[in-house]
Amino acid sequence: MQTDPTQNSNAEILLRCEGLNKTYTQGRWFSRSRLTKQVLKGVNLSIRAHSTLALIGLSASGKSTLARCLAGIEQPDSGEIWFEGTNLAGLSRREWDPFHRQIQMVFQEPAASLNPRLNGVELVSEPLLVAGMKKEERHRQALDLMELVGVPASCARRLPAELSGGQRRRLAIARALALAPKILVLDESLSGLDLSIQAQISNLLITLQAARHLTYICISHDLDLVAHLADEVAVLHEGQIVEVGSPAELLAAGPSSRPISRFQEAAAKLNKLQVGLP
Amino acid sequence: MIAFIARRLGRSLLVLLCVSFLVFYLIEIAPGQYFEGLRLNPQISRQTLAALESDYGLNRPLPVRYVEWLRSIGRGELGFSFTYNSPVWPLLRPRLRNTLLLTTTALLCSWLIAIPLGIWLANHRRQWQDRLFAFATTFFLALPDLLIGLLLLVFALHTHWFPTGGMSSLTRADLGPWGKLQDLVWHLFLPVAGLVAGTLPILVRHVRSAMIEVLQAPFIIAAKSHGIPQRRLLLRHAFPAAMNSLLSLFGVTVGMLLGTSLLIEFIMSWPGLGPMLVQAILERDSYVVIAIVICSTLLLAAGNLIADVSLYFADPRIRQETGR
Repeated sequence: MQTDPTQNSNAEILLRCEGLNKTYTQGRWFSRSRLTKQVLKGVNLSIRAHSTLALIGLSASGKSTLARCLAGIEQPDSGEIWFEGTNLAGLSRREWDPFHRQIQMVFQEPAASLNPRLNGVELVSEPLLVAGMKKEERHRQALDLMELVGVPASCARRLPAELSGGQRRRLAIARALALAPKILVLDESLSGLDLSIQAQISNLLITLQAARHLTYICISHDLDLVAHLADEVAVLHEGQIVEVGSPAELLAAGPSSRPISRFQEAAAKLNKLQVGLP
Repeated sequence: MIAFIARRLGRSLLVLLCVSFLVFYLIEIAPGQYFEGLRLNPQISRQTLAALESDYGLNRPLPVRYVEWLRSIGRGELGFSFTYNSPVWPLLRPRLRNTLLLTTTALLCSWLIAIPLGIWLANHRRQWQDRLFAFATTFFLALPDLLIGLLLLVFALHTHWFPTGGMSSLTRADLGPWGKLQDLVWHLFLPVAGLVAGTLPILVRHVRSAMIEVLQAPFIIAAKSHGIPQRRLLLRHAFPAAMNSLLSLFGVTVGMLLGTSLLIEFIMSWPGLGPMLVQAILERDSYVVIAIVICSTLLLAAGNLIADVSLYFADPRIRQETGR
């Protein structure tokens, strides 16, 4: 394992990636040639401790791939991911295991990302089992976590299919919090919810961040939400970070040549469609 | 739960009735009857033949014979064998027991090997182990069951490690209980190996592909990101999810094994239903054929019932659906 030469000089930076590249390859029928698509092209990014970084960009700009690389689900082809003095890129699955405790991910679709055969308390307590905790202790801690995220104890024995969309999101957050991570990667974790539930969960995230000193990497399409949650915004366009700044700077109307304006235009169109305006 | 089983049982009973009537009808329209051979004998008069057919009730219309056959089930006879001049059930019972012994052992062996092997291969997808087994399973799939049986017989003849037929040695009567069991296992080995060699490649491929499909599900990727170890991912998350399609396959394998076992029994002289069925077909002993087909259907229905009930226990979502 390599150690980070710039660790001492950037004590505030919790996670930093440099020159991250990722290419997907697909074979073709009756042909030796392969389809390749470079999803990440030399991504450089730094995330300060206890802050929220929002990753925004159009569809297929590489946001989810970047999140999956940071959470250790995908291996980047090249580049470095520095976390607490260790380069995570290129670690084997076994070597990654201890870092999974520190960097957890909340997925886009909790209905699909929670095992449909496990009930609420089993889902939340499972990561604790891996941490070697005894059954009663696990159970108690899982119930505490569920209470923390606002899932009533009566849902403990219910399967994910029996819970509402909002409860499933909360359960997914509780599961990700079980191992007391330092970083939570939220991949569109608030999309598809109605506004009041979205507001409740984003407020919950803010409360949890303060209470547990969490760092968030938040992927979203929703600019209002980004303005509400993020301390810093990075715009990803065709696999490259094209702008980084505070939400106030970036989301303020600027010259239309700026990359973020394309995203703002798209978001505005989407909003019009949603409210049925021409 | 009881209502669920009762519904399934009712459905199986209906299938059995339909199959029995269909077999009755098919045998009726098939050319040739048991007494057909006697017609060619000039020493037997037409009157004698007519009297014989009347005695056995063969001159009555099909629905009447069918109802009479259904009544004979109530009496525990399952029809009448012309060849053995006896009710069918006492003839069938010991042979059914032998066939059950063979197929159940083969079924257990096939699944007990296929499940861990399929999981292991799914976990080593596209590695050399996976490619090697893909080649081996294709090879065994391409071999006809008949050839597998004959190759096993050649193997037994050359090595003298296993008997080439039957299910007990001549000295069986002198053996103690432990010796009798050893003798039975020794005789079971080759027919079971033949059945397993025919079924295993299909099962391994199904287990492997079911596991691979589940391993790509979002909840498995999510569990992986939570740091759940691979062993637990495979056994606690992926395997139960893959179970649904495998349990449905279980019911089908019962039928598959029964079909192959009739052939293997015939080649290896296993005193089961197979040789009896072949003999009954050749001699047009129609009630024996019907009874054996009904027994096979019954076993198939039982296999599917076991699969359905296991599915009920394995998947909490099915319990909820049927509970509502």
